[in-house]
Amino acid sequence: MATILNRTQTFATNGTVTAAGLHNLIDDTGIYAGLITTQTELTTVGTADQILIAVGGVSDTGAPRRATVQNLFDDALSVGTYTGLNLSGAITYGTATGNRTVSTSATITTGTIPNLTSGTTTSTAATITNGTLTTALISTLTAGTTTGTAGIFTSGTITGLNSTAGTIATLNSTTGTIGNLSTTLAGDLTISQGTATLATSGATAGTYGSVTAIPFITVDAKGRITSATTGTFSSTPPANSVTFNTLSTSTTEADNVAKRTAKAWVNFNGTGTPAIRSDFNVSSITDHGTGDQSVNFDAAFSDSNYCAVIGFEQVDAVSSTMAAGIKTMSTSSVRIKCERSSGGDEDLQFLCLAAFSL
Amino acid sequence: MNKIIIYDNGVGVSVIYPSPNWNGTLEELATKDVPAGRPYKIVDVSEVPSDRTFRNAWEYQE
Repeated sequence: MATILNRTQTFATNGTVTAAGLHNLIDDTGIYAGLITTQTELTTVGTADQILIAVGGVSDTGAPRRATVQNLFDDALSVGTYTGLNLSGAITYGTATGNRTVSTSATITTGTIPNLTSGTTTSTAATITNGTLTTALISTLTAGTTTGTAGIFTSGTITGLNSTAGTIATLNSTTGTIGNLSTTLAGDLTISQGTATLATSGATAGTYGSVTAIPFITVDAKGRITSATTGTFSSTPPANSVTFNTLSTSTTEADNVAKRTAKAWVNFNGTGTPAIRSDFNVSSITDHGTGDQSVNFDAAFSDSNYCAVIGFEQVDAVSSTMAAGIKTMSTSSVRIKCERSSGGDEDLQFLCLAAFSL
Repeated sequence: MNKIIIYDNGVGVSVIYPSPNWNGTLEELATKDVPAGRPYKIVDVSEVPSDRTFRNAWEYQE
């Protein structure tokens, strides 16, 4: 420490030094601010460097105390409330511990805040442009707060997040809506700008299968079609298959069903106004007179060697035994005659005919 | 079908009642089922009596 004496107090050579003169000399002793400005400025300050500091609570007559830079910041940053704190530079010294309250206008441009509580971040004016929040609860985070590209939230809870751009490496959330989200997922789904896209499964988009091609489809455990191709199939049935030709024209007796089915049949009413109830391969019936009707085939038989079978139901009004038989046969029709056993022709309500042929 | 075909069978009249499954016209049916050379007419079914007591006495008239 340097001092400047009161140079207006002078003593003559070999003169008398009085007590008053000495007091006068000492009383005027002081430290001038200008003296500090004349000192060489330290461009860097080490943690072991020392400064003089007036200890609070000690009277003005007390001597200043020396303190290291480390002690100064350890104590100053570990306690206290800074209502107008504006941290515009990097917090590079040490690790801040303890509780701190940063005012609503504070700006933290660079640094690490290991534990950020909700109360610290409720202000909309709080801006963290570059830093790391290792544990935090941010009740409402606005877009402007998160524009810093180096902003990293390693863990914590963000109850409301509004952002137009940025990357969230790991997001754990049980509720809420995330709009316009772009992220890379490990599974089969990607999300870009709010649009979800399924990964391609390996199948080529298209239509598979036709009347001449059958599709071959591979499905994975997730139900996705991973492969789709087509293959032709033969119109020639395998040996011993049941086919129309086998059933209808086969010379093998055991196969030929056509021989066992009627090529024409009819059920009609021969009384009143005659009418066909149901038929197959019958074009019409012809009423020639009482008990005299013909069954006309739609498709004629190839010859007249077919077998015509007649059936009928006796009407209630007719008490005598009835008979119905074939009167004539041709390739195109069968004429039926119905008579009572006691004599006389009779119209029948139910008259049936079936015809079989090769 | 309300139309039927009647034709002269030489000794009386025959009446053709089409099958409900007949898909052609009555003219086509007549060509197929009326004996060749026989005159015929296509008439409404109501023109033929449903009382067949004297069925064998019916006559064909042009």
